[in-house]
Amino acid sequence: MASPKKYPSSSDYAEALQNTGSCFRDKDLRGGDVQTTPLGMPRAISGNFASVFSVVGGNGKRYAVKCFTRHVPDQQVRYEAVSAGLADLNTSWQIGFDYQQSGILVRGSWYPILKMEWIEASGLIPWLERNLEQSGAIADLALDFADMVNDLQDAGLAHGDLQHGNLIVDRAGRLRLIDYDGMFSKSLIEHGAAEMGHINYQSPLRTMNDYDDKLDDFSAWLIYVSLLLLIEDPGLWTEFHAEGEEKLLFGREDFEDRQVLSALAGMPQFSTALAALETCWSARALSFVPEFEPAGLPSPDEILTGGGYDPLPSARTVQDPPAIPTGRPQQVRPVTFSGGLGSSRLCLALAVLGLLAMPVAVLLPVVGIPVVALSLLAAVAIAVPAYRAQPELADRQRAAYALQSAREERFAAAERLRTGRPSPHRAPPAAATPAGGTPGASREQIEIERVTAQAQEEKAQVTQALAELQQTEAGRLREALEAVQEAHVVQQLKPLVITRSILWGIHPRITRHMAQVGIVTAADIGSVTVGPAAGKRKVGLIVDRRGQRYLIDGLDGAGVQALKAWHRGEVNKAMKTAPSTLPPEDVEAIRKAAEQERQQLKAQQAQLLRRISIETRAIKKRQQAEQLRMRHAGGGARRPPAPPRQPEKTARQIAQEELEAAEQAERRAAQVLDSYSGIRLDRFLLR
Amino acid sequence: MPYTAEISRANPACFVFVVDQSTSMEDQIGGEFVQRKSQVVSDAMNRLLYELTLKCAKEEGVRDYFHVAVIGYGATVGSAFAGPLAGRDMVPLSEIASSPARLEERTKKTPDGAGGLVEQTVKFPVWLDPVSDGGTPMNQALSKARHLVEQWVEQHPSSFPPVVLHLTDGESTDGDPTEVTRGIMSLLSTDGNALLFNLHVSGAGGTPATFPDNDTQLPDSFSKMLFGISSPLPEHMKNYARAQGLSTGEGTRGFVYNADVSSIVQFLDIGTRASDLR
Repeated sequence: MASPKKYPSSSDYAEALQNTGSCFRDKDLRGGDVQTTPLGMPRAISGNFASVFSVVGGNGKRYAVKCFTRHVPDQQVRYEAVSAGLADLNTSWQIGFDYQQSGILVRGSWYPILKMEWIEASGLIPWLERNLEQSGAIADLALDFADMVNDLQDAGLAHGDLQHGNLIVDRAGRLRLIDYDGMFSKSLIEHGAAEMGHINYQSPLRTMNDYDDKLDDFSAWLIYVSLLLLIEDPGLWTEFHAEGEEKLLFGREDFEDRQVLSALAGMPQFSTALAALETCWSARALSFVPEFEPAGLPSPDEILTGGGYDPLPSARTVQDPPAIPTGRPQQVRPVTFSGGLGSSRLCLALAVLGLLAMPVAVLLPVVGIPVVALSLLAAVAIAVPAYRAQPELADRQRAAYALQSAREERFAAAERLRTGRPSPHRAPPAAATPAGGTPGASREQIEIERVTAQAQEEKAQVTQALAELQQTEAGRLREALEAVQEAHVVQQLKPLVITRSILWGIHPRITRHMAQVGIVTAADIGSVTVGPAAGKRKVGLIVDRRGQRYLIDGLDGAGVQALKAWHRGEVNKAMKTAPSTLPPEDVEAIRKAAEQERQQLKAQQAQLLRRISIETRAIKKRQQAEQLRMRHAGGGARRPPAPPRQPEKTARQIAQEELEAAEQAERRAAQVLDSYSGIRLDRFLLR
Repeated sequence: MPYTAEISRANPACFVFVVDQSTSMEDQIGGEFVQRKSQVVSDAMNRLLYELTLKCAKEEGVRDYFHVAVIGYGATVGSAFAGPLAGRDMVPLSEIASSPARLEERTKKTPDGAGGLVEQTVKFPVWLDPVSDGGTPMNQALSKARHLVEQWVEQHPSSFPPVVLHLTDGESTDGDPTEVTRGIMSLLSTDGNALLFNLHVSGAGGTPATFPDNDTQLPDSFSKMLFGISSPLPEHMKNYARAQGLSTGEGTRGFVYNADVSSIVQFLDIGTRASDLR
């Protein structure tokens, strides 16, 4: 086989594109206008293996011309197969393309191009950043995305590199998919994979040998769940996406270091979505990554309307009496299997699949009988969809959320009672109850501000500690290397006994003086200078390696010079043979220590985020309870303004009441959850 | 494993080019056409900078995956940028992209693909002019490079380690550079030691050597010394060099001796090869 020819570089293409009259064969592109930078040079958009240029053809239409900087085996066959596969689909997200084997002439040779329609569109990340507060638009996009993945699945295709860079949003707000270089099509199986996809969107298990219709499952879950989370809480973007990061909310590192995941774990409304991601991440083999199936999660519309499940447990307290001591007794509804409770489907199939997939994966090597695994999987495949179709499951999950949230509220209330913490801040005299204001609201507002401010401060401290740790790590590495080098130098200098060394101008009497203070070899000397003038005579001063200073009687100016030159020469000589790098095990140890500290800090950060979330929610809950009480107390009449209460007493009382209410709510939530205990997969199977 | 840090806008990498601009760079160098060494080196550098800006060009413009410094040494030691960037040391790539000294036009005959030749005018950006004047204060120039690398790793402790690419044609006139180069190579980011690669365009003749793994074929003590102060090629660069048809061994170092024009381009290409950009 002839070795593949070296492909032109981006600048070679940029040069050729300055003469479109001669570089293109295609009649639309020939003589076209290339879009340029402000400097007047062809404007490129580059990936790792290609640059794309924009050309307005003679027909007035604008095209994207992709020029390849790397040889891809069987490129033409691949594009033809993908083209054929997509032709049957005829969907709105596709981009039309035309692969031309001899498309562009560069320095006398023809190279392929991909001629595509030009779409005026925005990359997913900039689009999200502009539309974070438009939950409806994000919900539409999520629906588009799920449909798109389903289209691909139905056609037996996989894109292979679903990621923010390949998802663009056109002027009409519709999602479009670009870059079909690495697509899977059944007809291409023998050719194998052409790429591995973006690291932040792929399972760590994916290799170049993986090439099937499941290529997109991991990335599809990741993207879809990220979009769902953003519909629910746009604040997550600023929380978890640093400027310039090449990911949405989760990248490879986030799965590895758990920071984001553990922070989100404190927010029960995300648990199903996160369970889906965990299942994907912890799959023992790529084939165990569950097929992308958005019906298993609350739909974007449900999240948008707050239906499906209650996204914010704290919001529920407005209609939900448990937090209010005077409320009506809660009705505990007996649960029956057939009772449909609306169309909302919140299902646990993923978590269940994940749990089942793991024992199977473990069984395989032990038992070694694939049949066991296969039959198990088959049973699951049949049973799970039926099981998860039960609406009761969603209700049970909701009950579990409610219990968890009630429990958190009780902890928070107990903590408030114990520390009495809110009192000094919650009711600073006068300021907290401005005349005519809602006392409850303003007081809570101040508290929320306090919690937020305090949290910001603590967060900044942790963030700074993390940043400093990075500096410290580099510093430690440097210091360790310096220490190793110094040890080497000392080792080299030790045999050089000063008396025996040929050192002109050093009288034995002087070396005796030196020996008396412990300076015997070159290794004992740190530095040599002239000491503070004592009378008229100059006296040599030797600083030893420990920093001790010794004036050496009899050591004159010439002696100092000689000793200094000799010592420096020997040090330099020794430095030449000193190691220039640290032994890998030392580097490892330093990194490990820093990593441990980093993990601790990150855990601290996660805990902090969780605490903020709990506290803020608890405050909001109290606020709502307060308002409701106001309303009950007399048609919106405000609390009588007159006698300023003892703040200390009020805070305690409130905290006590809140704790009791929280305990009651928790008991009720536990009771509700208990009533669902009849629903389990095994029972369902036996039914 | 070292030399695997992700290069991103959040975690950029840096290149420091150290370019000999002494009088002897006036001499000519063989290859396809005979040219002055200073011209060949500045052409190669301009080409490389243009390539880098294109490689990092995205929808919204050029991303700062890299920051670049070019130090020239001859009559003076300092930034070798001409035009708006004159006097600047470490410059983010987006600024390099938008601020060349000028666009130059050259007319050349290129094959028309049908057996004939056609004359075409092409424009290209220029950041560096060919300079050849003065002595060879190599120590001073490399000390400046060390200073820049030191600053970089202080500010970007977890970045891909800085790469220093040194292009010279002769012996230092301000002393043995061994110590200062050891200083460069002992600077660390958490991803490994800084890298120093040397290109020696000697007038001494001898067999050209591209990324050798020993110095036995090198003709004089100075080229052997430069080999000695060149870092071993990290794995991904070695792989890339192999993909370019070069043979590499266990101890292959980032050193090129008496290269022709295309090898100079190759030296820069391989020496600035990053792992995939994200």
